[in-house]
Amino acid sequence: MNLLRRLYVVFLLLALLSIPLALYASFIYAPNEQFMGAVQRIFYFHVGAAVASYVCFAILFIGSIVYLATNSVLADVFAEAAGEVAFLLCTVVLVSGMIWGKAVWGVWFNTEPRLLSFLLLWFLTLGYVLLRSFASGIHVSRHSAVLGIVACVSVPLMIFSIKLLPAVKQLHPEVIEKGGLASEMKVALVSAIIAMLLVQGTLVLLRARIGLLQREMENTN
Amino acid sequence: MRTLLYLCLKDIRLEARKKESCVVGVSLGLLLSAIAYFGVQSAFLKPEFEQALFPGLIWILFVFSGTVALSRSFDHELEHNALEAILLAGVSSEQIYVAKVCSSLLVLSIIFMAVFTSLFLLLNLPVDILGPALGICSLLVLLGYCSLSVLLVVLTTQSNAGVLLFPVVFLPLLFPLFFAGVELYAALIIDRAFSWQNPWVSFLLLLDTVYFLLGLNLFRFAVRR
Repeated sequence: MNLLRRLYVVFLLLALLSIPLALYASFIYAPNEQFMGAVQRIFYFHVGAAVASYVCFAILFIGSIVYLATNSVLADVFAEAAGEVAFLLCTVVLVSGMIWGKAVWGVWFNTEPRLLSFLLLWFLTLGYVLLRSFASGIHVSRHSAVLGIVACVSVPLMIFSIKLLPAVKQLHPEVIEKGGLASEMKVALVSAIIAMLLVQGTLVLLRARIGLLQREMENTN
Repeated sequence: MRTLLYLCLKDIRLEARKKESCVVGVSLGLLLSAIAYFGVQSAFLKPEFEQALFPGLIWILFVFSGTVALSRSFDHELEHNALEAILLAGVSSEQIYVAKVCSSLLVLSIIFMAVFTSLFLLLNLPVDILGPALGICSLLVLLGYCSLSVLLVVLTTQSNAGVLLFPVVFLPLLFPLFFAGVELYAALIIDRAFSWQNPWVSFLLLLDTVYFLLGLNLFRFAVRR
């Protein structure tokens, strides 16, 4: 518990430091994009949230496996925290993507691979959060761990299946893969990803601490 | 093997006596087919466009009717701790899982055939589309559907929200299977360009294997008290 609190404080301080830096890099340091203009600046936090959500899925997967193998309460609270934060981050990715899409492509939503992937991931995490909320007391951790593993294994299958669909075409700019970003933009992107990862770490640690306290209270009652 | 057979027969006998899942699933499937047909008719589409909707419609209707039919498939086992009694009798949870997948596959095949026949007739599809490839592809989708649903229905039945939670948890995981089913049906019925080298066939086999292995390994955690 003490280690968790210390880690949480460290993550919180680093997040508080990195957020202003990332905001400065994204909104002031990086230049305006040639065709999209100012709306392109959503990109930095949009990508950051997407990367952080994948990290949450990894924590959820590992936490669920460790819980089923060892019955460790710590693994369970981390899986719970990662599931909830993943839901939050998927919402951020989806909403920021829709705002960006409306401004650039003229539509809120499109059957485009990455948009579709995040919509499905959002539904997956929603299902996990709902099962956590409604599962009956004694089974909640075990059942959530089972669903967590199934959901995380399904993530690559889902993404692969969407890429196989013939009707969908890639609308996302492939600047990261093709190296088309200006150096200032790269700095802004990296700083936004680091800031989002630190925020994600802080939220996971905070939720894990709350989870541990809840379990302690349940045990004393 | 004999235990597996007995368990499977037990489930089939239970369904034959109660007829709940089959009757509800088939009735709902027929009703949804009629609703979908009137919806399609209201758009005044040309017959070839109506037929092009078949691959998507058939799987949507089946997913809904199958989900409703399977949502109560573990009620009898969980009432009066019957599942625990089976486990105490020395039957492994893996055997229970495989038997449940087999019996669910039978029930779902009946529901699927009813939905398929009704939509096939309503949309006036040509008879020459029927063949072994269509049957094998359908069976592969149904197998993946059953492998996943048996694991998830036992989780959700034990939750406070009961079966209400089942579709919310189950349907998001079903998308890859749904995509595979629709694409293979489109290749078979609309494009008439199906081959066994189609990447969706290999993907469907991969999905079936992954979901079955997941279910087999995780089922004991879902039923353990």
